[in-house]
Amino acid sequence: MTDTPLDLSPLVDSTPGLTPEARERLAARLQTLIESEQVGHVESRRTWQPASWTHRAVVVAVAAAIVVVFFVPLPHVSLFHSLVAPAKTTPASTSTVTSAKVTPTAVTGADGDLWLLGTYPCATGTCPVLLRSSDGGEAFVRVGTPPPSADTLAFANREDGYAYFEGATTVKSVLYWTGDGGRSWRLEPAAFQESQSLSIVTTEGRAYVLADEGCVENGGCKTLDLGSSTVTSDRWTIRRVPIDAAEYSVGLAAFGAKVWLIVVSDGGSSAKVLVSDDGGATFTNLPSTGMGGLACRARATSATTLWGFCATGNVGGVVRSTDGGRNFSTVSGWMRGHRPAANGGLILPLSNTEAVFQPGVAGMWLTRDGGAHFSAVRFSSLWLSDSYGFDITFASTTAWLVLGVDEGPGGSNLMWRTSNGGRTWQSVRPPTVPTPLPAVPLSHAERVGAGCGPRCADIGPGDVVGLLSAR
Amino acid sequence: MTQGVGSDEAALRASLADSARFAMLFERHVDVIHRYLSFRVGPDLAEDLTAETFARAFAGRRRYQVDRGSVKAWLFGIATNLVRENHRDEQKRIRALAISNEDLRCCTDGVGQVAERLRLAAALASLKPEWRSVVLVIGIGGLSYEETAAALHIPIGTVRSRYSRARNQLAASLADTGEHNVTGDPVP
Repeated sequence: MTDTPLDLSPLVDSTPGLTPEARERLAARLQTLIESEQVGHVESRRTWQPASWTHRAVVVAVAAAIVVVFFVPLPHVSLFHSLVAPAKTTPASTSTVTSAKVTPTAVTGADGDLWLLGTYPCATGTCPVLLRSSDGGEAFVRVGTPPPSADTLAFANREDGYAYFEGATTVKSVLYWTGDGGRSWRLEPAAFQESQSLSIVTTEGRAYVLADEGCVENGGCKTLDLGSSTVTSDRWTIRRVPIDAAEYSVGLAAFGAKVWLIVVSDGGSSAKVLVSDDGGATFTNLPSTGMGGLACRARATSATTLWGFCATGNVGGVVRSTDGGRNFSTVSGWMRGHRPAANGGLILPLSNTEAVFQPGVAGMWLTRDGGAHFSAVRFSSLWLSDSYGFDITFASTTAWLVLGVDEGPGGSNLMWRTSNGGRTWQSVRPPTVPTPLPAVPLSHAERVGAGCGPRCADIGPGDVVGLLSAR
Repeated sequence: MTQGVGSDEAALRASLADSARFAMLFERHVDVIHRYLSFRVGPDLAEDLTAETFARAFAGRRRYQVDRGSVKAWLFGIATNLVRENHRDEQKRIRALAISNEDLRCCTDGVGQVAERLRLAAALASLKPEWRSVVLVIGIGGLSYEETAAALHIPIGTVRSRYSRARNQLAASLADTGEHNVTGDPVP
């Protein structure tokens, strides 16, 4: 009898649980405390004493009234509410406010949060907006206005991230950094703006940017630069990458201070790997096997494990290295029973053994055993649809978001989310923003006066114009 | 993506700079804290004490020390302190459970199960309060011995001995009044 534990479930099960209404009341109480601390209108924690909820409610109600009257609403105070109910940003004035549906165009995740880049219909046509979700995509809250021209996001943590346009043959790259969760953006060094192909990797508190320079339209680029910075600042160290004129890098991978560059040459021979153990200060040529094809892109999940996708011109394949890039081998699981991947395939690793594979043809597949087996990621009945281009991003190892970008006329972009690593999926309600948008203070932005040059031409109506200026 | 940053401890640390991050802890633990308090002091007072638990945690989050147990254990410790401050309500609650079915109105199961609950409630009411805390923190909160020790600010050996003695006493009480199924040891 001594070793037999007691089962309290008869009593526990009979104890009434938390009703949604009670939960809402509790959330509202805590929300009040959080808001009060944020605006500093109640007793400090040092002098805070337990008091009746009635008394506390009176104190914070007065504080809240003061805030509403005298202060610009803070965007992040509604974050808590977003966790307990679908959140909508509060308009500065309720007299003529309507809500507009946001069309998501890009998503990214980090540190448990998701960010969404999107557009909404506004008086001037279509305006960009940046939203964030802290509950795995159930609700999105407006953060601010994304910088002009940027179409991709990469966040390293809740505060620090990058918005960029990768560049194209005839269009230069553009890269912005934020240190306040996307409320303000700073244009990054001019060295990155001349690139026609910009890659960025964030890892363990560092960011690496690979940018080609001296590019001639349709004629390639002369040099290749690698920039590195801590993600909490935008102080970049930029170094020339030691490659020959006939070589060009097609892949950047990094884990902490370890950096890999996948380099191919115009002759079409196998890719070679340059590796740095000092954050890109010096590189050595790593005798590497298995990176076949015309172009390989790799991502690192540790100092020894890299996942890659190599395109051959006709097809492509997933490769993986577990010895720091010395040897890559084609993952066996995809070869059995699947159609060959297209050149545009993409491998998105979650860990040393888990990765989502987008073969560039319809569908999305998951391996949890290092590529030995793949199972379909059935986020929706549309998962094999050719009408959508699907992107997946990870807020954590279990919270993922899929964005389906409609590639046909007349449709709309869709999103799905999972909170259990892809085992079950839910459709995400399209986020909305109130229009006209309330002002968002851009605390870190560099303000350059009342004049609004081309850098702020796309800023949405109603925004406080914290201008983005070139450094 | 950074691994492991979604932990309770990370959320608590993040809330020092951005207080809204504290909401994550509320989301994760409010149900189990409320259930624990609801069982100990009744549903009416439980809501207020749950609010007070999170208010105290929010106000005192700078004093949280990770080496003294998990955030969940810390929250249970705060909740248990509140129960102590309201021990008369707990006594009344458990006695009421033991002698009537007024708080079992939520349930639609049979007479036999109601009787089993009444026997179990009566047995729990007979425990010393400090033993009862150990039993309920483990039984309802699902805390391990180590987490329970952190929550109640007692050595882990004391947790083991109190739990063992409480279990024996409960089992003996239940054996006197009828059969009871036993399962579900805590994670050591």
